[in-house]
Amino acid sequence: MNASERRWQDLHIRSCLCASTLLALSVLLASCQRPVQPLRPPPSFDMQGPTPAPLKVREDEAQSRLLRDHETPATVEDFERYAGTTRVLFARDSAELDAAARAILDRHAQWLNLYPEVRASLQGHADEFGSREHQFALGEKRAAAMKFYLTAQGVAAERLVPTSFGKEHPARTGGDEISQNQNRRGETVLIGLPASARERGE
Amino acid sequence: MIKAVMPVTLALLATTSQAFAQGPLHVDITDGTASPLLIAIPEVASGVIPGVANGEDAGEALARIVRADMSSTGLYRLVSIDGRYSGSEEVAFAPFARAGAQALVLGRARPSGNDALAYDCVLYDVFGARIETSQRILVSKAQWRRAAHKCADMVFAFTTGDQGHFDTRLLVIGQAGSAPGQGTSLLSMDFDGENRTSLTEERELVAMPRFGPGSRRIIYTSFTGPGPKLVLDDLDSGESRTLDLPKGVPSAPRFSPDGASVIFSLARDGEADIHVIDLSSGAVRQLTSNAGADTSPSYSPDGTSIAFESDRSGEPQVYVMASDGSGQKRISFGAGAHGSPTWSPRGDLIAFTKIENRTLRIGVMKPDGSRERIITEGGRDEDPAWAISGRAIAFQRTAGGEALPAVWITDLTGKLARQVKVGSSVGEPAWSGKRP
Repeated sequence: MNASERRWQDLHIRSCLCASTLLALSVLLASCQRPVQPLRPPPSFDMQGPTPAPLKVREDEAQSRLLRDHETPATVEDFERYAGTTRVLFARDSAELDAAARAILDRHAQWLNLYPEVRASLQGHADEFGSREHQFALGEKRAAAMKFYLTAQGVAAERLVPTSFGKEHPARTGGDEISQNQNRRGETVLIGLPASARERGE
Repeated sequence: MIKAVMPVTLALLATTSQAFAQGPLHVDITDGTASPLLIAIPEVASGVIPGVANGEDAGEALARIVRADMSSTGLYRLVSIDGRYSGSEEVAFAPFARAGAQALVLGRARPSGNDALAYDCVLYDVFGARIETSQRILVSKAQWRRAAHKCADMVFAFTTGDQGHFDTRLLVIGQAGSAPGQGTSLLSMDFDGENRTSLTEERELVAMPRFGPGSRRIIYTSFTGPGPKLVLDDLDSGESRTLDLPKGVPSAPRFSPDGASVIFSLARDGEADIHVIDLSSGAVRQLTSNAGADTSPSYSPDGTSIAFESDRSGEPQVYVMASDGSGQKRISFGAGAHGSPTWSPRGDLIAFTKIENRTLRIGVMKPDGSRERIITEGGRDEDPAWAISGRAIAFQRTAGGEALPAVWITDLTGKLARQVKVGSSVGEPAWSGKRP
């Protein structure tokens, strides 16, 4: 086991201890029982969306992750590279995190746990198939679900700012199901970084 | 600003305006359907008046605006007679009677001083050959279109008994990007799309604007900063103020009818509840505490009841409660989901967005939920906003295949839905009350 792997194992244990105080028992057991698999490539999840495009993890990038050290600066680019995607998707009119969404948020949590000074805005969005006001509330519910999950993975609640855009800022505008599927989303957007100019709406 | 004043000198304009809808010139309206009043609005030439109507004949341009206003309601049918009508002639009723007109509107325009326009607007009963009501309207030349809207308001009020909605403003969200949310701004314009002004910088994401009583105070949701906030602007003083609210994500603000408080939805930890803030004391009161999302509150015009949307039953439906939050009761039971309830200024109807089979359409129902009627036929029609008359509804329509929306206005039958011509994409309309 190289140094980097040991560091990941430490982190993993620490996050479990931390999480145990949060009564998120099922999540906790699942993550503690899982054999330590440092730095798998991110789960492949076809987003079909142009912004951000699904990031292809090339071999050399995966390799560079393994070689990252404490000196890697906390940047939006590094977060995106590490997480694979900043976006999770939801089912229609639902704020439940499915397995794919949880796997993505696991990586968000891992990265955030590496950089405790970084804060994140959790931005819930909704599709067009509802009233403007209801979709706004639904976006907040999705952001709240992301926050609950990330805190269960050891990210301090104060670092996470849930918010909603409702259907005001769709990723896709087609009225078809495939387009609207992309709008039922939550995004983890880093805030408080010098390099965080790449927030939504740039 | 120069207000409209009643006539003082012209004997012709002997006023009878206190009598609302007593005579035969009355439009009876049931469920938004009326047998239209036959009305003649001839173009009375005034000659060119500098600074008015962009160099056209002012009287003719104003008459065309009055015509457009009246016919947009579906309550009047325009009747025209051959030949031109000169403002200096004595009124000859016979040609109008022969053409079948019941009502005749004559407007005479002339300059008043250097900067003002005087418009004498008279409504005649053609068969009785008499003046029913009249008004001398004085406006600054820059606001010349308002003279026609005020004239139309006078005729509408006399013949229906309701306030006219022509001299009003719309507040809309302008979309400058190729998709919603890319570059939004808050725009204000006349109800017919003219005289647009921008109230916010572009690229600041803004949503859900509403007018206070009248037309000079507005509130909207702004997305500058880490979370949305509710911003209250005073359009006269230019003062802008962010409401100080408890922790959470606020949205869907709306003024109380007396303008003293703002009701809104506050979401926290996945639950959204209706709250109200007193604008002078800043005190916030929570009115609902149900599991689920309670949002989109709208007061009845007397301020005693609140319609709102809740998904506590599993899908969004419209509820009504007393203004203190007591007596919460579901009123919408038709097929599909119902959202964005908006109480008519007349108090008789609640407009809503119906969500069914992934389509959104505008409907109205009585405040007890009975007599639900869907009045628009687009696939993505939403955000109903009442005219102060209670006889028209503005809404956002996104046409099939289009990414960006437009604002439309419809009468209550839905037959006269028409787009407000703006030249760029606008949505989420709010409709002002009476302008000062």
